[in-house]
Amino acid sequence: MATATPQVERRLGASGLPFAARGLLWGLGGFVLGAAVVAIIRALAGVGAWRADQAIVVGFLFSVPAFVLGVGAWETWGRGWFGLETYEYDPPGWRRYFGFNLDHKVIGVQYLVTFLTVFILAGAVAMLMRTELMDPGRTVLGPASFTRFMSLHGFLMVLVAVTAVPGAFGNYVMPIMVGAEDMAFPRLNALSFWLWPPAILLLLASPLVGGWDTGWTGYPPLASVNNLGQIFYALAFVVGGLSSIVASVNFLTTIVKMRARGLTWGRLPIFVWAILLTGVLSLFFTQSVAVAVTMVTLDRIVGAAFFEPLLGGAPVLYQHIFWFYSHPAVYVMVLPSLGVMLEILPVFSRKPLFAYRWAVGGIIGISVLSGVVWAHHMFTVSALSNANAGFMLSTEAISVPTGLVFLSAVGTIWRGRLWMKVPMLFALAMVFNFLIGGITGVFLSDIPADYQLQDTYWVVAHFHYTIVGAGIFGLFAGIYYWFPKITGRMFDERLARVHFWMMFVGFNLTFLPMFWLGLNGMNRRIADYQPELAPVNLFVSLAGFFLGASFLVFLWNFVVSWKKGPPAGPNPWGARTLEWQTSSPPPKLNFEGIPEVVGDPYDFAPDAPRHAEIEVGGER
Amino acid sequence: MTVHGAAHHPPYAELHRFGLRLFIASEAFLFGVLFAARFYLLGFERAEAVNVTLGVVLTIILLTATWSSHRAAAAARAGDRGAMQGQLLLTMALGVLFLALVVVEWSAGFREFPISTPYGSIFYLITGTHSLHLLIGLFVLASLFLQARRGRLGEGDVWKVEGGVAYWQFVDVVWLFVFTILYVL
Repeated sequence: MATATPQVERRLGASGLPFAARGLLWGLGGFVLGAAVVAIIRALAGVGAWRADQAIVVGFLFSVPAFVLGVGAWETWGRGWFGLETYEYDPPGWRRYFGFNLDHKVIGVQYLVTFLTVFILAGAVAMLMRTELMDPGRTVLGPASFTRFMSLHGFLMVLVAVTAVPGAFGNYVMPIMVGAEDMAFPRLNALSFWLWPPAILLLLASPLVGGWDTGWTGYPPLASVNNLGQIFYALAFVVGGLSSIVASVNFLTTIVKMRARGLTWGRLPIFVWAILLTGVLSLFFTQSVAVAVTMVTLDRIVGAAFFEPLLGGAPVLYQHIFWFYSHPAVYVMVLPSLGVMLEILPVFSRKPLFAYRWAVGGIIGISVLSGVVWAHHMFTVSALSNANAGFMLSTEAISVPTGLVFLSAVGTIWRGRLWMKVPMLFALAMVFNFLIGGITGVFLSDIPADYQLQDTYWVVAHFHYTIVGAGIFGLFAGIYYWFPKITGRMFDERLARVHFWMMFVGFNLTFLPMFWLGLNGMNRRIADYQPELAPVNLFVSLAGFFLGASFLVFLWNFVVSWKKGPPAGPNPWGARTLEWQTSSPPPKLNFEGIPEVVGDPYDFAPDAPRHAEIEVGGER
Repeated sequence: MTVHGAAHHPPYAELHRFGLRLFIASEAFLFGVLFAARFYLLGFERAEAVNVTLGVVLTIILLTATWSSHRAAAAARAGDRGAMQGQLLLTMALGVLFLALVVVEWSAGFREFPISTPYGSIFYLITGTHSLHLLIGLFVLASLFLQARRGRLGEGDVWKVEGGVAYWQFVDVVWLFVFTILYVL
């Protein structure tokens, strides 16, 4: 690849205002247009031109496509709809991140940086909440703003957990792992990212209208009558959901159709399996959450009767539709991270992944069962329903495939020669955390125990152990594992270890006592608690601040190493999968030739054949 | 775009067909959830004021549009650009007629079963979601028509027409379910 001929004559976005700024401008125009349409229709119907909630909903739905077209989708895509010439957005330098770029590696970095930012912001909100909870009674926030900050923290973190790992590594690493040059649909890929900024900005703006106070679950009837922020939540959910659906079409097509020659299903790296099943879950179930929040919004803005008992509606219907998505969604949060964990363990144990086929079966089993357990979130709502017993059984049955994933993890470590680098520390921490998260979940799936534990801090502790202990630890495991690949530079090992130990110790000291708080009757989502729980809460808050401080260490290391770290070389960990068989960072189309897979991805025996060979054929 | 340059990838048409099928499967879930909500809220109850005759007319219009869209795809495969544009135009005209009749139906329906009743809520949500999908289908067909007129659909682009038509026909099939559960049951 000696000669670098430009692919298009016009290098879009190479100078002037970044395209992202134009997107904001167009988005604003779209909002005004949408609001004007509502005003005109209302004026024609003779009911007064202005109504804020209707104007916001329609305005936002107009502004999202306008924003996406404005950041460059118009030139790269939209012009083609009208039979006009299209151009690729491919400016040099930092500008390539600020427009509708089609390169999956750029999109992976866009996802990573965006959702790390959201993670830090939502984490700061958690610090505020723990400040309020240091003492019983009112400390800094007061009950109303506490519930709103709790809702904002919860929803932003759910978005991070659902999106960060598949968005960053599913996009950056997965196509290279399967030996493809890019995703199957590069434009859909860019679309899936650029749907996020409007949704996130909307949520960050929600405190301006008083936020919302239902938590991330948005149950009516409260959700039908509270602040305008509830509508911001619904709109962000719908737009983010659309992004997930678009992204999963892309993941699935790439994995099924674009694997390199020789990359059979039995040789597929386990992370790719995890992304595949994550894609299946988001593809189907995400639709239902859009239905749920749309129905609430219709109840609010046009007076529909879905969840309004006085009009004959049924509020419990919301919970069914919501959890039909949102329980599979917790596996969308965890499966990719478990994939990262199982990807890292063999490399740093220098052993094949133990029981590979059983691990794949476990991932598939978790995905299948996740679709039939949603009502375990509603045991106390429909306490007399006979169906509860079935949901208890299906929920407890999930421990079996989850156990297979554990079996694979523990069997891989067993008698391995462990190389305790930072990615490995995070992977091992995941095994520890997820074990606690999983076992405490069994108590919640048990109906009589759930009657006691429902809506206490036991639940808070349990889902933080799964979603943070596995999902977010997996995010950081992946960041440290693939940092050298993505940036071409090595991070500071010492600072990374400081980050790990602060995060691991801080996390456990924060959330382990919460089980005790829950057993002793502390309610979740409330700014106040019984005075006798004060000492433990003070301890949890201090541990929480320690956990929060660990991310400052991470941020410093992340930024400084990205700019000034020593060159990492193509394969610093001695791993076998395809992403390590190309330069760091990889060239535009990922490989200098066409990769062909000839062996197992995890066979570390000295005489084992390579996983893949890259043919550099012809005149390329 | 030269992203798909390497020899070992399947042709773009195959990727597109697979991806579209996935998307349609996902959309089927959307309507499935809506239909389930209908039975959860209403059981088999139905508003007597629903205009079944109009429903039958709407069904006939969409079935005709399914046929004409099928003809458009066949013409595209045969390389007959004139016939393809004609059939696309006919399909779009039927789609616009359908939407116009939905507007008529809604304005009558608002008096008989307003949105503040459970049946009204479900009726307008399901028919509205369906019409929105039909609108997207219309946009796709219009885009194909424009591209064909400007000579930008070559022999290698038959899959674009087939894809647009497949999506259109999916929306038509959904209507048969909508008709069954909102007008007939």
